Amino acid sequence: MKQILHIFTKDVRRFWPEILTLLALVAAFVVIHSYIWAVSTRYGTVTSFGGTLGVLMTLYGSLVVLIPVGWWLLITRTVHEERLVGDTQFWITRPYQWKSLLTSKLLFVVAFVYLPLFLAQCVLLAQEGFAPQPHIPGLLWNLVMITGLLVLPLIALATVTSSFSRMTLTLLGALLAIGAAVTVTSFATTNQISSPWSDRISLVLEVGLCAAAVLLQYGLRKTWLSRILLIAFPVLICAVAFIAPDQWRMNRTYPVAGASAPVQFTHSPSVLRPSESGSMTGSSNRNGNNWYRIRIPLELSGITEGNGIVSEGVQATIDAPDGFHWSSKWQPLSIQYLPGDKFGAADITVPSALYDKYKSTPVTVHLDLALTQIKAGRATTVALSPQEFHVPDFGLCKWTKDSGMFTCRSAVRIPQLTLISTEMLGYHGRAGNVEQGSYWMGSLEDYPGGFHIVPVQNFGLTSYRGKDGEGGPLRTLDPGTPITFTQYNEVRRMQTSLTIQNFHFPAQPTLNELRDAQPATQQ
Amino acid sequence: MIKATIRTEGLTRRFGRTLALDHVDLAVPEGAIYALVGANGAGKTTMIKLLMNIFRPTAGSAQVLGTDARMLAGKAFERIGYVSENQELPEGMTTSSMLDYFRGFYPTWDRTLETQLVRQFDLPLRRKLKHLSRGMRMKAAFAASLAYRPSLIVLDEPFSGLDPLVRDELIECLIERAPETTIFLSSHDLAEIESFSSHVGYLEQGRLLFSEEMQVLSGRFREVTVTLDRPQALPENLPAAWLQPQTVDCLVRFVHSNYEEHAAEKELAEIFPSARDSSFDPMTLRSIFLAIAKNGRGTAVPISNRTAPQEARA
Repeated sequence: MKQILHIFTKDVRRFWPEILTLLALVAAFVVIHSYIWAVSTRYGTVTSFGGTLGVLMTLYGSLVVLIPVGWWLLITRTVHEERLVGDTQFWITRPYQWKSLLTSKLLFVVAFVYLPLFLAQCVLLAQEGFAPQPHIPGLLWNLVMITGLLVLPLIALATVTSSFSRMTLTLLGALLAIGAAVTVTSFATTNQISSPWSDRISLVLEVGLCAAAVLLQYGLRKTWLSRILLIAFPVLICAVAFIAPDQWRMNRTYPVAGASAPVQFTHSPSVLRPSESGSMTGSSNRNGNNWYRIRIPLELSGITEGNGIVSEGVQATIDAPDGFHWSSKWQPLSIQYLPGDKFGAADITVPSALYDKYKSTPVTVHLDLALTQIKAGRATTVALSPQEFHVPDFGLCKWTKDSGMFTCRSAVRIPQLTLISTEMLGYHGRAGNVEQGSYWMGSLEDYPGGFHIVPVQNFGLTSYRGKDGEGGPLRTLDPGTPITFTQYNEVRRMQTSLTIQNFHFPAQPTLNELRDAQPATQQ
Repeated sequence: MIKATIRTEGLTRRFGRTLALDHVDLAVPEGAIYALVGANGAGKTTMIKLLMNIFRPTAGSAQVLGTDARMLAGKAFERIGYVSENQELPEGMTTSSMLDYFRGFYPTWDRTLETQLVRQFDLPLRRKLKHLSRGMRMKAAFAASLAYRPSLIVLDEPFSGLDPLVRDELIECLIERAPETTIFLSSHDLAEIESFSSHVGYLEQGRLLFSEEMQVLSGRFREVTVTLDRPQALPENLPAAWLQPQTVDCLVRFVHSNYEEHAAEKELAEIFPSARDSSFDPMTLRSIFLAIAKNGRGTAVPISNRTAPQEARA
């Protein structure tokens, strides 16, 4: 312990200008955030700004970048103070205990990276109306994420480099390598939706390899072995992508539900909403090819009371009478369904060539849907107030009548997936009719925190979804209107499928129709 | 077996295809001032870095203060002072803050000795190390490596590039420390180590050609001049210990590498019965090494590992 503090004290004396600069950046961040917060509280959401506020907003944006840059500088300098690469360093023939040296460096990071950030985040939380104490686990999780994704890789790279310039080049090289790995992986991975399984594997690999490199360097100073470990990260990411194909990963994340699926989908154009017959809702250009987005209307049933279904992705297979076969990759499809919902849709993107060839020929479409079953949890009903009001386990919300915006903010992380429902005056020519409107907010991820410098998440609601699936902009909510926030928890993930025989591609819309087309997806 | 502070057995180190150190067997007796000499690239620094566990041996082993050199770390360095010409120092620190900092690592740090060394070397305490001259930096490194009275001082080319005044100061300081420690240093400057070393080892192309007491070495090398009564060609099959034999008119000159007074005279009389006169002149260390080097690199020179450090020093 004595040696740890001895080295730590030396580093503090050595790097006090850098430490003070970083602390000043964090302090400036808090002060500017507070000022902007005060302005937005007084005058509503800051959407346009000029003069002093404009300068401060620019500075604030810069600080979000400068603070991590400051961490990079400080971490690199303190690790390089007792450089691990080379054979001429003064300390390697002095009675340094490697564990003490490593611990002192970690203590330095805790003292001048984590602690100022943690305190700043507590101040910001308090300022925005959240008591910091209940959110300490989330803030600590935030630090864990910052460690895994930023600090640990920086320490690892610093341990295998001998100077700041080499560290900078290595960092650029590492970013390029990871970029290349992602590119290579994209060839192997046809998914457009990421599976939590892949993300966790990547995170575990990254943290494991970085930690091993750091321990190896401090314990044995095996620089080349440590470098190989770090180089192995992008290589392994690619290898995992090639070894564990998409379908395997999707099947692992979303096991096939079979008959036990809590929802059944069928293609039944006869029960469609008037505005949603099979339609083409958009076009795009990818890899030099034109793609069309086709909406396939679905009917659903089987969702029991208290449950819900979140559609996460879709994969389509098309078989034409002439033997032509085409399979899509997994495509994102984010729609929430509740008991009583009858209508659904699957948006798939198909190559324009396929569409043009078979637009007048019936084809067989097979859809695989990746679903998450959710269950209703705590429900809180709050009377709408002109002032900001607190929703337990959700955050602080505010209804601004003039702008028609319903804004909320939550501490540390995006809140648990929540259905916000209320009775409101309808839209679409039905003004004056009171109807049930709802909106989904939040996420099913169950991590206590995220990867943020700012510990407050802001989000807004400007439109609603009516009972029949139609929606529109929020118009009128009166003070005292009860609003119910129902939290939903994940029950299980699954895959279900349906086959549509004799499917006719919808007619090609005009440019104006395309422009007007609004997907039924929420969030 | 003598009590050795440093002992190596078959110590070998390769860098790729380059054999930097080739099966070196060495014993540095406790209390010795051992000078490892050799030309640039002979393997001296590699040897020292293996002893300090900066490099790992490819084969063989080394013991330093009774510890396997590969295990040398942490607390073991409380008893070792290491100074190298290439060693980096905490450049951002002043001399004073460096001494303050190092003091915390050594339970045996002697503040009185530190003060004495600072005064002796006239060290500027308030100046940053990066602003010091090479000589001053080396003095600061010496002070920081001697103030805790290490049992072993290891110096890698400590006097290289220093002016004679600084060299003398450092040598004087080492001699003062010698009674309480073992000193192992490398150098290619033979004149400077001759004055104070008790033992010497000669490395050439990674091989240790000999390792012995300075007195024994000086005693067994003689520059021999023989005057013959008439010019004569050199006989064949001269003794292996005669290095660089040459003849000019009636004079025969060579270096005797295994000189013993009576045996050498007898041997000479047998080989040159017509010798009128002969002289056996002592040689400087420099002359000895030049003779060995000129004899042909790698050619066998009788190796001795005789040691009697206390006597030698006396």
